[in-house]
Amino acid sequence: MLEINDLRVSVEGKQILKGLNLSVPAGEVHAIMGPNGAGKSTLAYALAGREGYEHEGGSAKLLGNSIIGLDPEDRAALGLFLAFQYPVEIPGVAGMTFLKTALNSMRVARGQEELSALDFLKLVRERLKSLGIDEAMLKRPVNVGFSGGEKKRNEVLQMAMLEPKFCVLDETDSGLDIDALKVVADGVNALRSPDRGMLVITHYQRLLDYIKPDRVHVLASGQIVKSGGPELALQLEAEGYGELLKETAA
Amino acid sequence: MSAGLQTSGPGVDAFRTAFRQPSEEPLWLSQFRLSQTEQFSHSGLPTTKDEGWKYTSLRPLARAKYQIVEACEGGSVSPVLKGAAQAVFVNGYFRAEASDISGLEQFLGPFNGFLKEPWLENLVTDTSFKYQTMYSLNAASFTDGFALKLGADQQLPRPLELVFLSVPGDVPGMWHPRAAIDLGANASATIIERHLSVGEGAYLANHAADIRVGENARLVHVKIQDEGSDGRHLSMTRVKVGKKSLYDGFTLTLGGSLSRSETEACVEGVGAEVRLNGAYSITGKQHADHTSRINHLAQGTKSRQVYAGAIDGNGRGVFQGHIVVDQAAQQTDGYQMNRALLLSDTAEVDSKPTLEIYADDVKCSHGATAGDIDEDHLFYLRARGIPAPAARSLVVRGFLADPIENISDDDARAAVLDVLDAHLGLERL
Ligand SMILES: Nc1ncnc2c1ncn2[C@@H]1O[C@H](COP(=O)(O)OP(=O)(O)OP(=O)(O)O)[C@@H](O)[C@H]1O
Ligand SMILES: [Mg+2]
Repeated sequence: MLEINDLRVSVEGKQILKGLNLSVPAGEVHAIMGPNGAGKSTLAYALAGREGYEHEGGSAKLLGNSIIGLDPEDRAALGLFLAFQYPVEIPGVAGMTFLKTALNSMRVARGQEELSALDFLKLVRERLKSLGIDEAMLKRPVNVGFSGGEKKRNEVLQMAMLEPKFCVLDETDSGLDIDALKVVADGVNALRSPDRGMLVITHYQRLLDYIKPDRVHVLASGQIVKSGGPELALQLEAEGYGELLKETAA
Repeated sequence: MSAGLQTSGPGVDAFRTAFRQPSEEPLWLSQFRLSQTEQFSHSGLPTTKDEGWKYTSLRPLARAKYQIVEACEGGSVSPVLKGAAQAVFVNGYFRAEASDISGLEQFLGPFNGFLKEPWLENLVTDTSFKYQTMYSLNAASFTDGFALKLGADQQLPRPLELVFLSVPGDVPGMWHPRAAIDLGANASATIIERHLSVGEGAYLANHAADIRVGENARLVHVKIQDEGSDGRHLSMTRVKVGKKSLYDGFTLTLGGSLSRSETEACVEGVGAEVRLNGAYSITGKQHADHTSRINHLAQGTKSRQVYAGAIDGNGRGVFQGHIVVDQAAQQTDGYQMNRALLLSDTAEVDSKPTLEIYADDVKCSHGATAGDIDEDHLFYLRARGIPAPAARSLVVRGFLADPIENISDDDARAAVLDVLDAHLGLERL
């Protein structure tokens, strides 16, 4: 479903992704772990189409469509969703307006009818309830003054509303308390389906207890240096990256 | 040739035909017109060398050959405030047939209907304000306008919209509508002024308003200027506020090739508050000027001015805010801020907030910011599938919403947001 081959991306003239290969089939959840500064968020942003992330080689395809060079909104319309490591605060734009505009933009891009105000509200309330989010939060400007955990929940809410085909979650677990982690994980698990793929970036095994990955990859210095089953995460938790990086460097 | 005419100021000749010959008008008005005509004839159109006009040139006005026009018909406009009464003016003339002020006639109506009222005379001939040349031109030239009087403890039974329609014709027209609003003690009213135009063509709308807010009274005065691209819009509003009263003024500027909304407030009652907030969204070659002067004359008075503007294309925004704190005005609390969002490399803003303080126990601050749109904001929205233009509009809306939040009347605030959303191509939930 997501096919990345020899992807090279530079930021401000510095190459961060240095020939990255990754394949996530439909229906699977893959985890990416790796040391700080390895390029995990760079991968996420490059997939989402953030400006300043220069494509220097290789390919990235979603459902067979190359996403290289596409505008962020077109990638979203193809079904890509990025839950940000640092969700952006947008003063003055109410969460409700934002969600409705986003959902209807995607529907229009996909050739569907826009949702009526009433149907939208019904859908939003359903999602809010299952994620344990207070509706009042959507009256406030997007992410402004939200706690770290609230921001992450808000990301998952957006994901649940937009029902993307492929989700990239960049450290969605960081900043969450134990109960919130469960709620968020439940939200993510509810979206697991045979025709949806997910890439979960995390530093902690804890999240993977809740969201069981099919594969675990280690990203270091801009490349996937090791891949394995869920047990790889346990091994990393126990040993850290030191041993493994020495091993792969050798 | 008389001595007065020899010293006539720049551009005066272009407006001589507009000066009204005092005829059937009451004596006070004839005298008022005469003195204002003399003043304008002497000083003429302001030039960029004049104080307060450095950033806005009225030079093109002298060449435009604007003509005074006869009363004409004009269509009706659906209200932005649900259930609001409407007084409609077309090219400066009151249009009874297009208006709906039923039940409010005792409080308000066309300016000319109130000429014999002492309150109107007192309000208009008040000399506490600084001389302003375009105000004088209006005084010399106005044909009609609007008047409202609320006695002590009275409230407007319905919110009110004043619709000023400009309908340009074959030759460039000019109109000089005049308003007078007087609120007695404890009175309260919400007024939305809407400035619109129908069809294409050049014109000049030069408004003047005199407002008095009595003790403990409250006036929410919202102005929405959404005129056509060939329109020039000038307005001078003079406000006097009494003890513990509130004047809550807001200006939304969207249209016009050249616009200037100027307010001078005399905060002369102890504990009174004046708010002058505004938002503007301009593009192309639009020039939007918001200028204010707030005179704090009594103890414990407060003023708040927050403006936010989004400037695209070759647009130019101007903000000049001058706060004067008189020696008697101890414990004055004054604040002014202009924030500009520059959406293109050629967009421009000039901000000049200034303070002039003669009291020693005051709290006054001012500031101005100008910056580009935050790419991170756009990226976040676009990553959620919102196309770039809509994402921009949402960010602009967010930026402009800040001063709008300060409007103290819920319905008026919602109406302003509705108009802004329509302008930005966004629909409201
Ligand atoms: N705008 C930028 N300019 C220069 N270097 C950048 C820029 N953005 C990222 N980098 C660098 O790219 C590298 C990878 O950063 P990235 O954010 O992808 O790491 P990460 O794996 O997500 O780390 P973390 O686990 O801390 O979130 C880092 O060395 C970072 O300093
Ligand atoms: Mg990161």
